[in-house]
Amino acid sequence: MSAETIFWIAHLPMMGLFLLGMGLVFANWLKGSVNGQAGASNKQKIGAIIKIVLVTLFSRKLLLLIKSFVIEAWFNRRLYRNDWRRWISHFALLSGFMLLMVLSGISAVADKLLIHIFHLEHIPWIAMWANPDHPITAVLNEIGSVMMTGGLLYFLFRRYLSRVPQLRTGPLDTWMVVGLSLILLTGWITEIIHINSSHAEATAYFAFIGYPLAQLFKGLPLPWDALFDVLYVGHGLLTSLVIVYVPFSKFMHVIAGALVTMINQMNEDVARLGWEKGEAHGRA
Amino acid sequence: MAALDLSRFTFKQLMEIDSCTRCGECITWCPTFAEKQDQDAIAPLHKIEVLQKAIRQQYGLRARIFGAPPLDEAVLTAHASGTYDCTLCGRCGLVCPVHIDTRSLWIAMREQLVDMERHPEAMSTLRDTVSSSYNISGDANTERLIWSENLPTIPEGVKGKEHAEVVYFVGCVSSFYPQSYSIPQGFAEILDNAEVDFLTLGGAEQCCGFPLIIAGMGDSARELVRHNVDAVRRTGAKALVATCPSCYHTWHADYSRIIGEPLGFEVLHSTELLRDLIAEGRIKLGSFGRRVTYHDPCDLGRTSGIYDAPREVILSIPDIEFIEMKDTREYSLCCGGGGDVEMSDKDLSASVARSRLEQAQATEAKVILSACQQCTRTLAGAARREKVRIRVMDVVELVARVMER
Repeated sequence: MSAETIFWIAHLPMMGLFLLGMGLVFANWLKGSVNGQAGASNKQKIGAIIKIVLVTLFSRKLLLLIKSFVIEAWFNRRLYRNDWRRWISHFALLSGFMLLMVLSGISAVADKLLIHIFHLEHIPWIAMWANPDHPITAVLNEIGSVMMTGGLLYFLFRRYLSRVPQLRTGPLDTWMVVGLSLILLTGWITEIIHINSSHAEATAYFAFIGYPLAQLFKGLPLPWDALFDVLYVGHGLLTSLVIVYVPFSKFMHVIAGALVTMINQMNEDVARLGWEKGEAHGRA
Repeated sequence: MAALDLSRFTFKQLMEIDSCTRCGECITWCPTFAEKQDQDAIAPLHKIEVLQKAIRQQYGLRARIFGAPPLDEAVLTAHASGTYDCTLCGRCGLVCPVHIDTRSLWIAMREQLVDMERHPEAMSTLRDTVSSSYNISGDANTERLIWSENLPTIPEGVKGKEHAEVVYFVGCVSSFYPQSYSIPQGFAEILDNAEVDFLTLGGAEQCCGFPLIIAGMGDSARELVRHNVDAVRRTGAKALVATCPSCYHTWHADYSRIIGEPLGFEVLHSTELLRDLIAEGRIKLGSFGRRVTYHDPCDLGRTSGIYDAPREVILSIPDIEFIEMKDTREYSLCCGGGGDVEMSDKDLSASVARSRLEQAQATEAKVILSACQQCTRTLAGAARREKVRIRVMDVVELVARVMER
């Protein structure tokens, strides 16, 4: 059985668990009122939420929603006003994470769908996304990883070394740090092993941090190919495990925080622009 | 103990609880935590954390499989105390990187604590007083116009009119607390001088419901709301004006939601009306050659978004020297008089007021202006206690003083 098969056998049930966890969180949110109707059934509440979502997506509010996501959730203007160093750290962590997620998604679609099913490997701009050593993917992956690592290091420094008084560090914070650190650490190790294995292509040097690091360890008498299989599965499953943990952890703020920021900023903008003037104030 | 009931929260608020990044920014901006730094239960982050833990404990995976354990009594007691030791100033929400609407969240937490009968005794007393007397002081509600009795001439609009263009909603503090009488007195004089067709509701005015709503007892405010709306509608007024920012906010933001329909008339704060009357030349102002600073009331500024109107009124007074405090406009520090804290923890309210007074002193202003009778009362109290020679006035009082008659 190949390393990849092992990965998928474990990964898919874990994604099922992730969805189950998200369902649990959503069920808790549903205990609250929607449109001020506390006594409504879950079915009615879900119907009302779907209606709100559709009305937003198919109206001019969508533009405000996109604007809110970019300016307030991603570029987090408020955080910048509060502390620019924290802003850099957060922006690097979030952007690096988003970049790596997008690259993983594109890579999976290119490899599993367009190449394996539709056999489009002869099209260079499709094939490149399935190849981690292609100059573009290598550089992009490296940028994402460096941003995440830099952001996490500042986070660690601030929370555990300089111990800023406003912070309250508890298990929720520590487990998130452990999860992120393990993902990043195994990610870098996997990259080094990949570059030193026979899988690597000549253009692997575009990984501008991983490649020099790999050269440092190249002389070690290690079974790089075998190690790569283990680390590839290990890193992938560790990432899956952290994803399963998302609904039960502080990682949840990545999803809920983005949604809340977008909704509240959009509502603020709608009120400021007077788009719903005359409507009764609601508590959705 | 009954399971944790989350029906007091909205879907979005429960989402907000999960969105907290625990960055602690709220802690650095909280005026009450700044005065009681040994009590983490006051910290906004902590309140969210307690609720988040309780929700997970009661409705998490383990609870769903093995059953939920009882809520921790000690944690609950501290949480209740921390939740009511909050002036509801909303600064925490302003700086929250994920835009949590904290003020609404704290009110929902109070509603939940009321349901669990964990609210301070002072809040029950408040509810009883307002329910029986229709005002917060417990005086006979028919005495609502007592402030007008020592006016040299009582404007027609104060007593004796049944219909008018504008209803002046006086509010409980201005009606019943002698320290604040000069605000409605001044405002009535201004309206009369500007020939505004106005009236007051007199004994037909009841508490706007704000103190109950923010105490988490909004259900008890419904009858007051309905009564006040009907009373104003009977006058045929096109607008309602309030000198109290809390009354203004409640009328402007909560009333239509509570009654489930539009009010059918405009709601204004006194500073908005004053600005318009000055701009229209209906009030002529004489000079005031002193340095003044302005304190933004939380319910007028952060909660209602009115920052410019009072400043425009102040700056229209000839010879006035206006200087802003360190924390101003959206970032204004609370005076300590909000959130019913004065009823549950007088010392805490006084400590916050002292901090704001220090900011005012730093400007070397001779007068602190505000646009709220509660802020004026709280800051004047702090100045008296600290023996600081600084005058505290409402913008209305100043305009009435410099107005050419």
